[in-house]
Amino acid sequence: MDPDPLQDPRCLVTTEALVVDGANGVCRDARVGDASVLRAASWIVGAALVVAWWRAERLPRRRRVAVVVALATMAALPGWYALLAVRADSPSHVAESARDVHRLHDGLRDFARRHGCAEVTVDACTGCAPIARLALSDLICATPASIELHEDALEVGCLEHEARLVCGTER
Amino acid sequence: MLLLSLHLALPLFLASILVGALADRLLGGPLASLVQGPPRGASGLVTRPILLAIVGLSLLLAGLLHPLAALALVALHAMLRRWTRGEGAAPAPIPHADHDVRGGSRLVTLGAAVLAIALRPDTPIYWDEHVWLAKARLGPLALRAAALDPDAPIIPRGYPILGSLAESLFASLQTDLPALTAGAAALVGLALSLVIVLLTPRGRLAWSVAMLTMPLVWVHLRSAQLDLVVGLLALALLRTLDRARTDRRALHASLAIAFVLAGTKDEGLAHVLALAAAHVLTSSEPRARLAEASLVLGGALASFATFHVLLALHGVSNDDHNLSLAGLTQLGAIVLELARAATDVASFGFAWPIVLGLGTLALARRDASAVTLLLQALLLGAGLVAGTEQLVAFTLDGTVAARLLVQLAPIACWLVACAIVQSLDRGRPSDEREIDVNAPRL
Repeated sequence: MDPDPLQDPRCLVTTEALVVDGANGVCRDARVGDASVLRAASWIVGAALVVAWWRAERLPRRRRVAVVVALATMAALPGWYALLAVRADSPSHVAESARDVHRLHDGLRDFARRHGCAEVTVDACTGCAPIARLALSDLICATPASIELHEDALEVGCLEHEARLVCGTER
Repeated sequence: MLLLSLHLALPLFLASILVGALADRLLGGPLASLVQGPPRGASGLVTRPILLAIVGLSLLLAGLLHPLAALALVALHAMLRRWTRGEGAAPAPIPHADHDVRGGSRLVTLGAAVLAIALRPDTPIYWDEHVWLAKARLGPLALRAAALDPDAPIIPRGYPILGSLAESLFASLQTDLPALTAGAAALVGLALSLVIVLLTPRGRLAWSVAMLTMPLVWVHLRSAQLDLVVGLLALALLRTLDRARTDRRALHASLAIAFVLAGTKDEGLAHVLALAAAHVLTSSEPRARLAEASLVLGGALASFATFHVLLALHGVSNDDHNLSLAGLTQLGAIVLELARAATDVASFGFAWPIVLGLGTLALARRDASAVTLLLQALLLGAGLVAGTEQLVAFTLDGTVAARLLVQLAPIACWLVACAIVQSLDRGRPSDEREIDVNAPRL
């Protein structure tokens, strides 16, 4: 069985994971991270160390500032690495992700326009929900045509079967 | 690439400048109080259009929201005009020495910011981008009508609409994806530009570096999410309030910013409340500051209250943001979730422990940005606790905390920037300091 792309512990390497969680964190900490007392305490300890360092009067001010800036910069590197080399919106992958989103959006919108409007009747693709909402937002009619969003809709695209649009693979 | 569609934002940008210029003239030219350096120098030529644009945009959006909102905003400006008549004919120097009267570093920073935004893809990618743009796609009038219609298929229902209204207008009312994305990017760009022109030169550099140590901010900068816009407007409001301590005419800009901030997201009102309270609490003349804070709060209520009264009159409720205290039973889990987000190294590096450490030191000096940040965090946290089960579920699911931290990031980074600049300036004579920690409290 294929692993669920939304549970991928790496940093949002699929378009769907990016759509769902791309703005909630650089990687998947929001889903798989540990919200523990220990972790909260580490924050306080980190802050206390910063205070102690900042007030270390025997050291030159410039050195104190430089160390804090260097620490902040180094700590940001894993995030920047994920943004620049790992995530599906990194420079080398972003065009592909944008194309996936654009293709699904345009497919849904063109279909809905031709039928007056459309509604999602099968909703098995979490990341497709906001794209469908945007694609169909200003199209309203009395008898909406049917759209099926299957799990792999973003990768596979859509095929029209009469008044039904099937996106992804029917199982 | 979005660069090719950004020209669509020009008509609204120019219209906003025009309306802002007209308002500025009628009000006696108060925005000059925020221009650091000669008004006709490069600094003035860079700063002034951006200030005019936010004032003009607030008036245009007020007119679209409801005539009463526009009337309230105009009345507040008129009241302030009467209040400050005769004050500050010659603008006082900016409280923090500004060595960048030519505006060179502003231009460089603005250019880099515009480039970063313009090189994003011309398609929305993240979840909430689609949500806000789905509303923008309706167009201003249809969006306003749908937002006040309890049966309209608008999701989520009852959320403020100024952000989507602005995005639609910046997209020149076009509805294709590149145009809508350009509209959203223009709104982010305006908020960022506003901050850049209101910061002091070395503070601006330190702030930019501090923001870059929070990688998630980069994601939001290049998206149509509204959290960074809210945070940037909050910092801009902090800076104009700071300026208003020596020249009250700067409050005209504060009014405009507060109006847009409180009308963009519900959290906006919490930010304005925090800023207004900190403005009073950090002054040695709290009574004088109370009137200024009330005025700014009035600007925020002109959009927030107008919209929520309209919602109530039309029978529309915001099921996510109603008060229900559902978070009380999950208080511990919410606190741990906020701590989790703040210690997410990939998203924020080591930035939040630094903010907490330096913020604690600044708080002891009653520093305005530290007090503001504390109040912002408390109010947003209280909002989570006082919220609905749905909001608590969103929070514990990991989709809220990081976004709230993005909203807090601009002021948090300004706090760090001030600490760094002050520390480096400590050996200098006070008149050469950019941010003088020993300056008399006003």
